[in-house]
Amino acid sequence: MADLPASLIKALDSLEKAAESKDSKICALSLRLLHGFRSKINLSTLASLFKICFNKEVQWGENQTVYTVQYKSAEVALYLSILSVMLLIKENRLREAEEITKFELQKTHSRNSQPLIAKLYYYLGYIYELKADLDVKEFLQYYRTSCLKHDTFSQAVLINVILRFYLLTNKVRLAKEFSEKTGFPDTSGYPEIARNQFYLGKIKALTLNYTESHGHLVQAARKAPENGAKGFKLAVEKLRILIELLMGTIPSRKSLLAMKGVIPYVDLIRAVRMGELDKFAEVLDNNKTIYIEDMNYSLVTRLRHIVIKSGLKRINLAYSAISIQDVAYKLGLKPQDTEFIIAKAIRDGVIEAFIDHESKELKSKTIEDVYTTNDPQTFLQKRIDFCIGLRNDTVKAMQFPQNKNNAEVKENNEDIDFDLLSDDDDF
Amino acid sequence: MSLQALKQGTSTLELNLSISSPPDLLNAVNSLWQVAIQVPSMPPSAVKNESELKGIRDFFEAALKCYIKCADFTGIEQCFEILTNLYQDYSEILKDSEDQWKIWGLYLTYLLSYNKIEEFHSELESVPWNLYTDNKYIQFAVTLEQFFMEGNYQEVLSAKNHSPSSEFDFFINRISDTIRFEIASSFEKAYEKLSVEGACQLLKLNDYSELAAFLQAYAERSGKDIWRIENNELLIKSNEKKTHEIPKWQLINQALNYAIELERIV
Repeated sequence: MADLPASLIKALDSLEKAAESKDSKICALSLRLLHGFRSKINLSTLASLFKICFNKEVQWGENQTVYTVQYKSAEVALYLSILSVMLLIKENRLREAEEITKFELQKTHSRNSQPLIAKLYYYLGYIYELKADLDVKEFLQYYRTSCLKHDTFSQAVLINVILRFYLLTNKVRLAKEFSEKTGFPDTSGYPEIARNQFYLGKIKALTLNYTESHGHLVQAARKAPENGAKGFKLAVEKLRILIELLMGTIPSRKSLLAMKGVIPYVDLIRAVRMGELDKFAEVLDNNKTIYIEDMNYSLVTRLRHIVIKSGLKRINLAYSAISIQDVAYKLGLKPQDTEFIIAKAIRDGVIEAFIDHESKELKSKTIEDVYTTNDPQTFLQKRIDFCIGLRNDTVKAMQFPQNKNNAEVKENNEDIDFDLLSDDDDF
Repeated sequence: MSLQALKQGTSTLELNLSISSPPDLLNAVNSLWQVAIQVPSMPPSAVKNESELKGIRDFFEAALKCYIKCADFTGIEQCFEILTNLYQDYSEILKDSEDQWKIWGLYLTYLLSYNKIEEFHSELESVPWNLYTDNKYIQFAVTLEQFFMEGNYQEVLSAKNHSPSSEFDFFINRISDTIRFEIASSFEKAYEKLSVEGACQLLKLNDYSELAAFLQAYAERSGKDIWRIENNELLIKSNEKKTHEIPKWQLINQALNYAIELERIV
């Protein structure tokens, strides 16, 4: 008898209990352990586990402990199916994994096993991706079914699978329309929210809505798990750097040093900051394959005009008046085009200057003192709004602990009030 | 039955493309469209027959050329919609058409000419990146957009001289108009005054009367009348100094909001 981790037995036990108490939270919790079993058990142990679980007492482990394993609930069976699907995928037996998944999905399940079903959908999406069969139609059907069943867990997973497939096949318009016409259930778990925010960020970026995209990406980074998920966090970070550049800001140095693997993007930042087109072309050439692999190439090519703009910015700060000819020379542009480019930069608010057409000169305007404008007021307003929003969200997010009697709940209630007051002090 | 008719119609349409007058051409296309609808594989039908789909695609490719020749915008738009759908979703059944990338290039240029930059980028994503430089039609659209974004209007206006195919000219002409408005809106911010000759030169207009006509059109379209011509010089009103006002109503609203929120917290 091979070793089985005790945590697995624990998870199965709690699932059995969950089936009795009809608590879907435990199902969700037990799923978190799933990934840990990946390296600990293999298919043959799983096979014997299947046999055992629904039969009688067995002994296993180093000290031959006796466990009573008589599970009746469908949840445990489902959990074991998920486990086997995961292991089959690991051994690249996709066809069998797909069969099991579809077999389980065809059965009717109780409401509290919804998180488990969602996980099955997740693996089904993964299997299809590995098969390189990125047809969305089937998943749209699943999505419709999950909506009819009010299964928010599956909805969240399926929305993400569908968006992912659309993005992998470069169908940005469809992805955008799909994301606009479906409501992502806000009760879903952090991993799904993080994924969703990332996809939304990508879609918004591709459709030129950089400000919103940035917001989504920041959310994605925040909701990503603190440990692990390195690939995901790296992808978010890369995209965030690009978006910040496209918005005309330079990402702060501190945030960059945290991760390796962003170096090709740091090179980009350098080129943009210097405003040198030659350097930019060189970086683009050197790292082309990386950008293409990250599916960010088209976004990177959009940076060209940002490079010009930041070059203009530097010149504008350094000179109070400069001939257009010189600007063209410094930026590596054709002289006859430069006047239009400068004019557009001024219109877009990149530089504060005006052009004297007769003498062919670019003259800087004296920079206005920001404190004479309303800008500080609007920024203050923005921040206060953010704080108030944050507080209201935290209040909404608070939950009462389950399975406690009323007296305790009341006590807790007072505790919460107290906590809130102390929060106010921080304001 | 209808497939045969469609195929015949398409070939006569292509023959007549350069000979017929626009109204005749439009009639021919529109009546053929009716035939196309009756073919069982016409999208979004569930029937997918290769030869039928090929016939449909050939027809719409020909129809697009006709519509461009007749400058029929709704027709152009509908053709693009059907064709891009055919290229993308039926790629497993249909082999790539010869004209596929040319039509993609046309479509991208069309989106640019309507200033639909957002759609331009989402559609561009579905084009393989190596075609950005390897395919002359795609490359043309991509560089055009780049010039557009940079504000390199000079190059955009001269794009006409090296368009990859005659069908593109129609859209480029539209872009030139759009560009002129873009240039004018940059003027508002970038110049304090301009000589009339200078303005004509920058806008690629011939003389004073054309400039005046353009300025009037601009004022109508943008809803702002900010140009003045004095002593052979263009003056821009909006650059006169603005004074900042205290946004009192906004401030009152904000203060009240803070009070409400504070009340809720305490």
